[in-house]
Amino acid sequence: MTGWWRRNAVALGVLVVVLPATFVIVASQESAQRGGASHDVFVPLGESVQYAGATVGPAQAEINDDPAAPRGTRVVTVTVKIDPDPTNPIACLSPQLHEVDGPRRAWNERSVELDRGFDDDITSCSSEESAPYSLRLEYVVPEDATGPFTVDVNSVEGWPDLARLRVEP
Amino acid sequence: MLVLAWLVALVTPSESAHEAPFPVAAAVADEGIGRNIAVRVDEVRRAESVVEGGWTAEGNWLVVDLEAAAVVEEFGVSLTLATFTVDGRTYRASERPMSLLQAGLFAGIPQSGSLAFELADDVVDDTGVLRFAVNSDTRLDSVIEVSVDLAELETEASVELLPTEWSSR
Repeated sequence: MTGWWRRNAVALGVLVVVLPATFVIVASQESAQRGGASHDVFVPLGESVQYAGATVGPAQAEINDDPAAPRGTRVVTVTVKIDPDPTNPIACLSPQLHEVDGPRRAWNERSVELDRGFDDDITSCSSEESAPYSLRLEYVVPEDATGPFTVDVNSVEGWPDLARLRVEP
Repeated sequence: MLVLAWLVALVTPSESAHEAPFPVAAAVADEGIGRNIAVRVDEVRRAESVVEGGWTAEGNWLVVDLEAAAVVEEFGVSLTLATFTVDGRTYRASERPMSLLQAGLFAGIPQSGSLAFELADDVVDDTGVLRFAVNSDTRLDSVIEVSVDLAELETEASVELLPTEWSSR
């Protein structure tokens, strides 16, 4: 038996190197192909985070009945402080509201549907705004959605990271 | 051996089974809930003429009053697929009137409205199936299916489509 091992020592040595290498290469290829997956940066309640050059947060939320919203729903109003980098201000879409527990539903910003009109509320980050400001976001959620939630601030500059700010109305 | 071969043939899934949609059968007035779509057909009517706002058209119409919502996620989610299959032919909901077709759906918050299907003149009293989904590509996704017996429906002279709005239930 030792004769067999000795005769095939070179081949066995190659196997020892090649087999683990195969796993590493296949795994790294797979993860590279799934590069779209975002890396969530969780921000605890009342805290802020450095994201895409800006200080994002803290975020606050309240939940209220609202005559403009349909029966069986309530409106979650979220404010998110944004302190942009004046040389390269952050741009972002209106963040989505995500349920942390339970069915993990997600809602879009709804001030347009709530007919709030074109007031001064800012619902997305503008790359032309270099002074600190607050996003004011309104979400219509079913009555059984009581939080906690996260508000997901998502910017091209911050990709693939995503700032998830926890709020508890 | 023969019996065994027959059994194997019996339980072997078809070629398309690995990407088949998940049908959810629901009756009229019952809510069918799938992965990210919930639909409740409230009423089905036939009409010689359909009215929507100032628009009207004559034909062999099937009008469906319904409520539709998303279940977990609403970003880019709309009632994209709404078809009626009868006599081996599949009709898409008409794009001519404003209706719930292509309406954006909200997670857990139903909207009410109508859909109008313009059928061929020779479709009279067969049983057909309404199908609803959030993508026109239904592979591996939920499809809500509601069976409709046209013979049970009286044909009205004129039917007005409901406006698309937050449901008031």
